[in-house]
Amino acid sequence: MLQRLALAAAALAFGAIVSQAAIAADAKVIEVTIQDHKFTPDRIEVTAGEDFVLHVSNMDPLPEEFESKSLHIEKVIAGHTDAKIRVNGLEAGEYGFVGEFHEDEAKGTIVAK
Amino acid sequence: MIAALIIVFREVLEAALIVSIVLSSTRGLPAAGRWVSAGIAAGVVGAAIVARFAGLISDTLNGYGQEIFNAGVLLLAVVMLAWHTIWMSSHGRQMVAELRTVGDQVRGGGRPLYALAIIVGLAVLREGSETVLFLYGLAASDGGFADAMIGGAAGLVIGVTVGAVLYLGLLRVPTRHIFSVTNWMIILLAAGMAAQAMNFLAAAGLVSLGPQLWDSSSLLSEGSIPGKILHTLVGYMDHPAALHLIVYLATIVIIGAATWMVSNNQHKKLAAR
Repeated sequence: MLQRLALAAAALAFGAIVSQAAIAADAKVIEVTIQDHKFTPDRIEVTAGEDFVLHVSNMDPLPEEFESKSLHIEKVIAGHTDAKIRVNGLEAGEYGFVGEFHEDEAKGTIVAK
Repeated sequence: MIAALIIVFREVLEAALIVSIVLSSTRGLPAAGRWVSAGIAAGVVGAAIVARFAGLISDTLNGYGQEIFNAGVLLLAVVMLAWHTIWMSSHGRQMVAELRTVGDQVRGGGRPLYALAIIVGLAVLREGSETVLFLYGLAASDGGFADAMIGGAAGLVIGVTVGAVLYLGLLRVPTRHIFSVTNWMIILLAAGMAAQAMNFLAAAGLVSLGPQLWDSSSLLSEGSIPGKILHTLVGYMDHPAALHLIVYLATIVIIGAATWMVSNNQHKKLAAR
């Protein structure tokens, strides 16, 4: 009984995910670089309402965590690697992001217009 | 050093709060402490392994390996928390009641509490791998080693202390209420985790979060310490999207209903005896 309930819950959760999987279509890719704990560009303009992908390359030897509370993003990017971060269409406005491991220096803003 | 302290504290806090809640939910069960310790140890080892292979995990699954991994860890924790709650409401109550009459004879034996160890292990694993990566980065920079060690240790101590305070607070809850209190806490904990898992699935492009529902960041920022504690305990988000709320409520309803059904059955069985 218990196992079955747990399984049912897991199946439900999984079903919800898979049914949404079709959303992942191609979107505009924006290149961002991390070097010496700084983002380039540190101001990114996007079109409001359009999905996009941030392609973040970490040139530093050390790991960094790309974090944006306002975008619900947290992603660790190991040293000398790159990562893709998918963002759903944003309402017009400004959205800050930081490198959590070097929060004082690594800062940037995404502007949706 | 302050940066190390703050980051380690933030990560440890979350794991410590989760450990306190599950530990107090099994109060009176023998060997619970041992299973929790095993979970913590496994979590620490796992965190180091995950940190070591962070780049590799990230590269798998089309570059979305990390998101899927994080979502998987969170959702598995949700299922385990659900299982734990349901199990405790059927067997736990009875076991604790029996133990009290049988006394210390049974202590030391006890049933395996796998779910407990897994929940704790997952919590430590998730928060721990980030901490390991951060400390590694700091220690590898010039003269950062002492900083990383001292700051990290201080953050660890403060985080564990807050967890211990919650645990001791929960110990003061009268025994007859403890199950309902911790049951609800675990259900909310699970709901918050399920909602958080959506962030990772969205970052991987698997789900869409939908429109933002409100923004209460000026009232209580999720980044502040009270906001962070509430985020862990009840899943507080200062600007949730529609999917967060839907998943949050659905988790509460599913676990709540299952627990209620099971404990109702249990009452009937006991009454029929």
